[in-house]
Amino acid sequence: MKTAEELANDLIEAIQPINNLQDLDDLRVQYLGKKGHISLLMQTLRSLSPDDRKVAGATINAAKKTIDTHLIQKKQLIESHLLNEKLQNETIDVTLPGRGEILGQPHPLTRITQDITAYFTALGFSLAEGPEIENDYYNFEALNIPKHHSARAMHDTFYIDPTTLLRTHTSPVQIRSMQVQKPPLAIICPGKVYRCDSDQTHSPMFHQIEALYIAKKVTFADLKTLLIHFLQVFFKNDQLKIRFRPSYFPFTEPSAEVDIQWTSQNNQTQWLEVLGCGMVHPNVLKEANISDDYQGFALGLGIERFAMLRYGVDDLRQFFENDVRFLAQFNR
Amino acid sequence: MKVSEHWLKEWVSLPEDTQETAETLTMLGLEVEAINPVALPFHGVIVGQVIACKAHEQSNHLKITTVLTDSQNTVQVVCGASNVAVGLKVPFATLGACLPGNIEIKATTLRGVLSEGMLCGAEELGLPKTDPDGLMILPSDAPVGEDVRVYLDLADCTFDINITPNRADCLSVRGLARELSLKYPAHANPVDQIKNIPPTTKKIITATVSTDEACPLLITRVIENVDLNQSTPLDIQNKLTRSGIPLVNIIIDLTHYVMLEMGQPIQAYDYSTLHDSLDIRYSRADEQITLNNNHTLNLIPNTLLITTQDKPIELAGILGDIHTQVTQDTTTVVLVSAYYKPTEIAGKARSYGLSSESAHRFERGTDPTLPQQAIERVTAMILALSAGNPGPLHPVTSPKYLPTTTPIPLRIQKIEDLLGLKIPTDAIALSLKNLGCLIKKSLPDNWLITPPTWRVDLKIEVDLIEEIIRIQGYDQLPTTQLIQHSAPAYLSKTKQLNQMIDQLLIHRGYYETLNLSFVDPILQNIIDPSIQPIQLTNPLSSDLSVMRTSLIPGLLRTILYNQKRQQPRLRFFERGQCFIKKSDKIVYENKLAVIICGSRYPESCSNTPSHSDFYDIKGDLEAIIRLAGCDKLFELSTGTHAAMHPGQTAKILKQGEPVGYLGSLHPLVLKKLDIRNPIYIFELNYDSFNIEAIKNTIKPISKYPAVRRDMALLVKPSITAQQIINHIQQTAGPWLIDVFVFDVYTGNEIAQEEKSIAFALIWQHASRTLKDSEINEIFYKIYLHLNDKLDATLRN
Repeated sequence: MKTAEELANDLIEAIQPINNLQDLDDLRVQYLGKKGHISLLMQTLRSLSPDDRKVAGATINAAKKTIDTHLIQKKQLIESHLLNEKLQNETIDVTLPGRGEILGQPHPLTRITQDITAYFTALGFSLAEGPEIENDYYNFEALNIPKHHSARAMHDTFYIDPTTLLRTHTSPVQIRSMQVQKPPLAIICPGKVYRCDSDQTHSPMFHQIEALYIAKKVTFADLKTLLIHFLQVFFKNDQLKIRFRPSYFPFTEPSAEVDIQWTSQNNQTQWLEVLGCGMVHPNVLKEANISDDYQGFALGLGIERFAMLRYGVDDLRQFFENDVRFLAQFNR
Repeated sequence: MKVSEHWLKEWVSLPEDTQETAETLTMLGLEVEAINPVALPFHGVIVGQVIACKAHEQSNHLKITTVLTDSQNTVQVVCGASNVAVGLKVPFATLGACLPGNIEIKATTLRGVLSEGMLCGAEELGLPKTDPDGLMILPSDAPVGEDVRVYLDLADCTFDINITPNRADCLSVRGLARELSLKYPAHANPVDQIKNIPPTTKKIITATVSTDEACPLLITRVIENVDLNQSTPLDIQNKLTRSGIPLVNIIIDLTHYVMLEMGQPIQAYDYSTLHDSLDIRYSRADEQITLNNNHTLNLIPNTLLITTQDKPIELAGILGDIHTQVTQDTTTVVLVSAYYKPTEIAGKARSYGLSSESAHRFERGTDPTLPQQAIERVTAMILALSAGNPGPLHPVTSPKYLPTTTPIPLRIQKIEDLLGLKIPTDAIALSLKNLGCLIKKSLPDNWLITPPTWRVDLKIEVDLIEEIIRIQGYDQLPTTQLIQHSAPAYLSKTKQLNQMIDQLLIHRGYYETLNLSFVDPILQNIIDPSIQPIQLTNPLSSDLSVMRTSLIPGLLRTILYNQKRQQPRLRFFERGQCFIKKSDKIVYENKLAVIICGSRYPESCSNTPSHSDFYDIKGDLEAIIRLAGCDKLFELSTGTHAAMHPGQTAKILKQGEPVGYLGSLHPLVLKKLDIRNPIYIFELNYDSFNIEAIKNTIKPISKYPAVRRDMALLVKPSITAQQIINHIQQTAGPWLIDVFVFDVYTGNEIAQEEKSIAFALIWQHASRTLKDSEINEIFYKIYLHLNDKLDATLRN
């Protein structure tokens, strides 16, 4: 029979070539199992004197510990090897694309409309909408543009019949709102409008946003203050230079056009007209049955214009071609 | 309105910097849209005179000329222009001159002959071409040796000013000068002291006005022995052409000049064509006029006309006819200066597709005191520049129809209330005075303001307040607190839902489109043949002539547009108003439409290649309905639609009412439109969601186990899953909590005339465990019912 040291040395030698957990376990049983080499050696202790038994027992225990340690180490080695192998096999090309649908986009004009609407909503303006086919009364008469008014020449109108037309601006919604809501009131009305005109800067259909504010105390200075803030927020530039200049709209007085100082792509700085506004004309308030202790302001802007400035688009017609390669570029 | 800067400078002392004048005009509300220099820069060009001209021996088109460059010096110049001749005065580029395009003039030898300078055509100076391919011939009185830029006043520029419709008073040099003199010192001007011209003959024309309300003032004057051979002075020519007015002859040029100067259009007629009769009346049915542009118009009744012997000779205030105009042969002219009621002229020119400088002024409103001043002014100029014997002024007037200037009450407090700016009363008074208003301070806070006759736009208090702040400058308005409306605002639930639906579609790969609301009637008819669309009376083109009744035509146009640009996989959605006429009323429908074409997923190694089909778009529709919280109210059932595949179309029902449709486009429609791949669409009326009305109630969750039984049925292929589910739900008792299809099979394992469809049925009781025996009983009952109603048998 081999000594404990010999057994330990045998194991160290036998464990070398082992490379899987099954063989390792077989080896463990062979040495440390109930009928293994160490158990058999232990049985020989019974025949020894207590003193010798103590010495020999200690030797066997030391060998057993050595064997145990080697088995554990080997097990860890094999496991770690197996894990590495598994990880190696599972390695993929992480640069390949993800699965499933790619995101679409909202239309850029929708983004601009929502941005502007959100600004005014935060100030308490409620959303109002109206029909795109209007009658002469709401589109012109009620807005202080009677039949023979020369301002009608400013609107190239599409007609359905002599009194039914495609609205040329979102201003009819002002009248419709004032007829059903009691002042004070604050509304914001985005929508499609139509004029017979088509070239690089005109589309027969385009979008406007109109805001109307009616209260007892509201002034032209309040309007100017609001618009300066709005434009600086929209264009994300609190240094944006803005000027108000006198203009004319039949439904506001005083009226103003608002210009911003804009640096174009070829680095030319110029004043660019971005919106029209003014204090609501007394004739309009009268037509809407608003009592004369109220006054108010209205403003209107072209959404395409704001989109063209924000995104650097120079042909307005692109917005309605819906080329998917165009639409895919708008992500904010 | 286009106007020369130098002309304005004759009236007002303007700054050196043209840009500054433009800025001033713009900030006064007279927006300068463009500043155009009259000529490009060049130098070294003088008035030269050809004093000798002989043939070049080495060339048959070149000439050798001697050019006088001042009182005594001459130079030799070789010239190739065909119109070169002895005596002509032409622009001469001296040695060292620099012409537009940086062309430097040096001495050269042309076929052996020395040439020291160049005789110029208009184009070589960057000016509009005058004589076809030749030298620019200057008037015979041009001073030899003078710099051509000075002589032709080429350092001038024109302002192109956008005059808003209310500012009729600014459609003249005088009007613009009035505005500029609010900021700069004014000079004495030629129209301030217009003298009455004493007549030298008694000749008048018999004039009547049959419509005195439309034309309350008509003044005529006859001038005999005018000389049409006189040419219009260069200075006047320049002013007219720089305002965009073509040159005609001395008489017409002068009437145009006075119109530009004062704002009053004046007509001139050849007296010999008028038969001593002039009347103003409305047109009757079936009348015609041949305009001086040679177009014959059929007159719309009630157009204001000037007639002679009842024959129309002018669309009053708009355009004259061809037979009565002043020509080179005219010896006696009739001048007509009138005031027309603006609404009589407004829109008339446009309704005939015409436009004229005259109509532009009359329809905006002219100064009723001007006709007399202007006719005297033009008479004086004709006498000075063309000669003639003037007759007396012959006015026909109805004072009661002439507009009067009524005082306007102005409350000083209202100015501050409206503007948010306190302006000192002195400054208010000064602004109004400078505008030409008369001020009567009846009370310290209540004034009476009488506007000047030319400000026909000033009628009510707010008109004055606008003027006051316009003159003070809008930059004077103070900054205030940002206004805040007293009530909070929020988007309605419906609006929020719409935005959520848009987001859902975007997440599912759709791009939002915006298409024009008018569409091609042919396409419209393919999609909605049963609806007569609303027609535009004046469409831009025939393919944009009807209002859409559906969003699908626009989306199909978008598909075609992108397909032509090699984009094979397309997913779009759009929402917007559609328009339908129902018993003469226009009905607006807010629709949402979705379209897909091409593969199910973007092509990629990570995606299994497969074509989109009906169930892809149906899944998106179901997601929307679920998002709206409406899945209990909506139902899809087999449907038909003219443009759709008869076997792949479902109607979308909300509580039994059709609100849209879903499916695959008919192959014949695809063929007509030249679309290569199958197209799946749905369109629904999104107002139908009406989510504000939906209540959301939550049921407690049972803690007892659910029981699932699968039922595979064999049925005729025409039986739909929904039919079977409806029958199951009728018979499965109150504990059924779910039923769904988990497999559909047709093929070799079953008979050809059958399909297999397998359902999972799930029961659960709220307060106890269900027994196998009771479920078995229900299961059998369902089967018997299906067998009876649908002839269904159990598979296996």
